[in-house]
Amino acid sequence: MALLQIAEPTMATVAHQHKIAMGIDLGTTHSLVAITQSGKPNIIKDDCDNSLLPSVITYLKDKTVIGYDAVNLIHKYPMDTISSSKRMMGLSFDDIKNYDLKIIRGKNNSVEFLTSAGKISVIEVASDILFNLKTRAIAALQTDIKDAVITVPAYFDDAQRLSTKDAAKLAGINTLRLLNEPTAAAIAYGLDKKKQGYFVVYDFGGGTFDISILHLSDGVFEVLATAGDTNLGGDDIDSILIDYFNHNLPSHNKNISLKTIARKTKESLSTQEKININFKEIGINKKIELDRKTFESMTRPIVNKTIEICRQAMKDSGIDNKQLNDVVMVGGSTRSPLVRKIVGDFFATKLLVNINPDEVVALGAAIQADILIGNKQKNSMLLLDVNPLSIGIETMGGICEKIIPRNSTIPTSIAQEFTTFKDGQTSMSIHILQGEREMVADNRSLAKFVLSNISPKVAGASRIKVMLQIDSDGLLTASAEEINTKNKISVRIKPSYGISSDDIEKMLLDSQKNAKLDMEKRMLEEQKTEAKRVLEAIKSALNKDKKQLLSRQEIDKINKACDELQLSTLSQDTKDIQQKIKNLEKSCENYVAKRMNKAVQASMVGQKLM
Amino acid sequence: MENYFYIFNLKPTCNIDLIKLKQLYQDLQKKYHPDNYATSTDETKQKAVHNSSLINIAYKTLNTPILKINHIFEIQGIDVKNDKNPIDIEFLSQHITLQDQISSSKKNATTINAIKNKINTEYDEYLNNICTLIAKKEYYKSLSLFKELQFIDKIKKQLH
Repeated sequence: MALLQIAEPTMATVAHQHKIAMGIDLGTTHSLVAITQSGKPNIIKDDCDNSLLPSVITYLKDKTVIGYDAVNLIHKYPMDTISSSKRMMGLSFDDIKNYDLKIIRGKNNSVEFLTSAGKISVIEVASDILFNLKTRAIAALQTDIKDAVITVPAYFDDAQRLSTKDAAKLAGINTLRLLNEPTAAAIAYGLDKKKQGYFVVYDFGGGTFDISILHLSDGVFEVLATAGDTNLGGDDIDSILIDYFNHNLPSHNKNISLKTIARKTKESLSTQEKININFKEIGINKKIELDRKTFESMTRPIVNKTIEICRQAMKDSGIDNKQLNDVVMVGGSTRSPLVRKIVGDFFATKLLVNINPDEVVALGAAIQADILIGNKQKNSMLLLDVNPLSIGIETMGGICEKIIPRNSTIPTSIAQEFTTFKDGQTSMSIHILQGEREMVADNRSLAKFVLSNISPKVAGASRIKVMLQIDSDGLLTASAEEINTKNKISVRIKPSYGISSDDIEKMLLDSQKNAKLDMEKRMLEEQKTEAKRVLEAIKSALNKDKKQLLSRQEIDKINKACDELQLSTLSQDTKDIQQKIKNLEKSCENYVAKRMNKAVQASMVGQKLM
Repeated sequence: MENYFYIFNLKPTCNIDLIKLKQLYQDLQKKYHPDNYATSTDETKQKAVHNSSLINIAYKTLNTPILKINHIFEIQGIDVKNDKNPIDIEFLSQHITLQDQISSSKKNATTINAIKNKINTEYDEYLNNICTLIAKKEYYKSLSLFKELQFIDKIKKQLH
């Protein structure tokens, strides 16, 4: 197994056309898409100028609503509105600890949501979010985009990574690379350009808290330690404020949502020392005065919880504060002055806060996407990742024998020999695990497969070689063979409860149908806009000079074509609108020629027309 | 049998310039890492994963003294694991005593530091001697030393 000959990636084609790839941050509370243009990563906003897409979807019988619109529907359709589904990515039904009414046991023990639109899998929810972001990018750049770098938490295991990739496939996205979120944040700050150093990425978002300690040395990003709490975030701070409001307001309808006011209060107190909170907009005639000091004393316990987790992660990483170079601040909650102060004091290291903490991960992903699609010199950067968890195989007695230790640079592969333990044994079950614990039961089971038709020999005489390979996305493939025979089996590791490739194919077909529908809708909208533009241009021209240039009949003819076009825009027929635009243009040919002549003549005598 | 030295165009010797090795490693990864083939066909991507894996493993082997020496033995067809010659009894009793001292003086920093220094010096001496013997192609003589070095390495890791 020497090095194989590979043709160099063809640079010629790349040099001529500038390819575009997305960087996508698929988050628990919100998601973003960014694209690098002229060497600079930019967040793509929606029609209403929003950068963030709340990772919330309402599945109704006749339509699917996503983002801010879905957030507004949570109270109206609580059973059909799905949020924070990333927490269930790659988990089996039995893994779910917090019981949720919406969840049912799906096919192969997977997690599904029961909504008015039917059963929806976790992967489909993620796929719908990804599809929305992709559409947003396509609309903004007016060109088809398929490739993306998608970020995942550093601690995501094989099943969670694979589910993310499956969701992308379902959304018609080609995943160039799954990138660890902390690594993406570090890239956004250009830390990968440094020769070496130790970095902390402190990620305090809306619903989750993560900390990663990274070591960089000559282009190798190594995750030394990662820890977190998947149920700790800015939402907890909102809850404290809501409790405080409820306590201080006269008795009122408790159903009234104070969340928006809580959020505004929190944000205002990040910049102001003291504010007056007005509850008029929710029909309560009272003001509450709150200063930052009081607010901070209420929320300090939440921030201190994150520090306890940081302490543990630092201990695991085996380094101390003095070795740290920078602390990268990620997530909306890091805007809080209190968070910055406590984190700064704890690490006694410079905090990096200049990049918008909501956007920093997506921006880093966009930079990496641009490199992978081939827009930068190949030699500029080499980013090597490590596998976050050890891979092992079950051996006799329920022991997990580690075959690929954690923090091995990936991609990597390894072969290990095993042997039969009974006389005449003809098959062997191979159980692949992920995790750091000694016993099989304490680790995560990735896959089980059987190598059969082993030639019967005395115990210990048959030699079985098991090969494991981890690719650069951290995904595992396994194969086993009996040495000196042609008996071989190869499997792509699929979580036993995940969706089968047949299901994926079927869902892909469905989604392509939908994509076609979505595409048609977009073309219709585009034609309508075009019609509107043409009509306005012609009408304003006619108003200026129709009497000088056109006969009565000519004016009537143009007006008629205008009316017909106007009428066609009320229909849903893209082709008809297109045809009517052409008709109008035709009827104006003579008029356009006359205007041109007039303009040329006018320019000759030095007069300005129009 | 894979020869990891050939991947870097190096001669199979004990004394490798580690700075040069790192440079060679990075050059190879820059050429073969799957990120360079993100838009290529699946077949090419698979080849890149294969090459990049091999380069990673080869680098780790040659960059870690114990693995490197073990690999030299492998290339020579010497099976270290199944070598039947026993480790010197005196060496064993000395080092088992050391291990006991480590576990009984967990909190005593002075004792631990003293043992650390002793083990580190011993480790370097062994490494030197083994490499000298290997350079003279006296593989079997170096093999018994190597087995003792593996033992020392275990204690070293325990102290880390």
